[in-house]
Amino acid sequence: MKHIILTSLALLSVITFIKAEEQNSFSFSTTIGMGITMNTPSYHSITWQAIGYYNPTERLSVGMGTGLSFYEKILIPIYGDINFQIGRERIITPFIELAAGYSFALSKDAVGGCYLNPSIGIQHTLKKRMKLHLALGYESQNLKRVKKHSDEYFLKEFEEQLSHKSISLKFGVISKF
Amino acid sequence: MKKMVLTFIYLSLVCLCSCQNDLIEYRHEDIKLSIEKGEAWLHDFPLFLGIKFKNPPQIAIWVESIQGEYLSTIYVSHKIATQSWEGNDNNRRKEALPHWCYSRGIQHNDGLYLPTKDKPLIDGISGATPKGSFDVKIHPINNVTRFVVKIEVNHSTDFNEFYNKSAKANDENYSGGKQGSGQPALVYAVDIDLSRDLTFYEAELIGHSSPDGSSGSISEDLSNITTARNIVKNIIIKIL
Repeated sequence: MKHIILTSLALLSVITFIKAEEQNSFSFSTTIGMGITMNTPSYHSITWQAIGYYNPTERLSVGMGTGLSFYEKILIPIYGDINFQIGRERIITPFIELAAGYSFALSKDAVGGCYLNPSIGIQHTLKKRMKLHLALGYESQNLKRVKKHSDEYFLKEFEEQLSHKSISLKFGVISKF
Repeated sequence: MKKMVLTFIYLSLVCLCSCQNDLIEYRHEDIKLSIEKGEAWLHDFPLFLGIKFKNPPQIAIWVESIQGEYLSTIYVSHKIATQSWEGNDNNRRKEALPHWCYSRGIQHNDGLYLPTKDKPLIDGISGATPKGSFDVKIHPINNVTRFVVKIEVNHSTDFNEFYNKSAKANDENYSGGKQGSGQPALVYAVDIDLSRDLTFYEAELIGHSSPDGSSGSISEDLSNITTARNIVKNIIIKIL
């Protein structure tokens, strides 16, 4: 499963790169965000993300993203992203977006898992090539970690499987090249 | 050049991914306790407007001496350990895992033998209930060689014909009302003797806990237990 996701992401990045070279139509976005937890065990996450897009049409952007997600453990998500602008570009333009991929844990006693983040939002034009970006969505992030404890009788260890579901709020900027 | 960079990135990701193996390493003399999920592991829990979601059971795993003295808790599911119930209407759910609660013997100000939100169980022994089968590693220290491992499992709102939601407090089949337990918690146990050459044990169902959680006793009468028997398929303990 992980290999399928990684292969798809690699293919997507190659296509994006090649197409972008032909048409020189890149954009770059960086966001900070937070996740308001909807499940137990609960954890309000904080994220920083950076996405490189290729814009095959005025309204559609496809790209690859990465960043840092702060859950119980720090994760590095690698994901594919599709952003579709609803209607023609105005001062405030609505969009829908889907990000899907896999997150890697930095810590030895944790393993990341699948990452999914569909969202809706608005983009506000600041300058000719710069927009503000605000998105509200649903985020799903799987994660496994080791829990340990010892007392006078036993050392105990088990693998905790966490499936975080949250409402995600993201704020950032998009620059066009 | 760009294709080479992309290939390098891809290979790095595959390597990073390959390194994410099993997190728990087992060594000689470790004890591996494996709970295999049964058909009723996930149970429909009502939310609102007829919406339900699949809920895994509450579980406690602990160890007692051969004489029945409580020694140590190994694992407890997060909701009871931290009292983070959803839709419980301030009911602390004493009927969830009463045999473990009374065996542990820590009574709080409200008279209940449950952890509280202010004083939850230690984080290292509580965790999200797995959606499926799972393992726990136990390593005895201080020459503990003979002990009893007990496992208690229970679903909320797991009603059947006998343990129904309309039962009244003080009735034999009362299990906490509409948001209560339904069928009571089931208790499994196995005697472990590390001085013998046995490397394989299977826990047996020894009875059910108090349906309303008013005591820590176990009843061997399982005649009114139906689907709850299928929460767990088996519990295996291997001495490595």
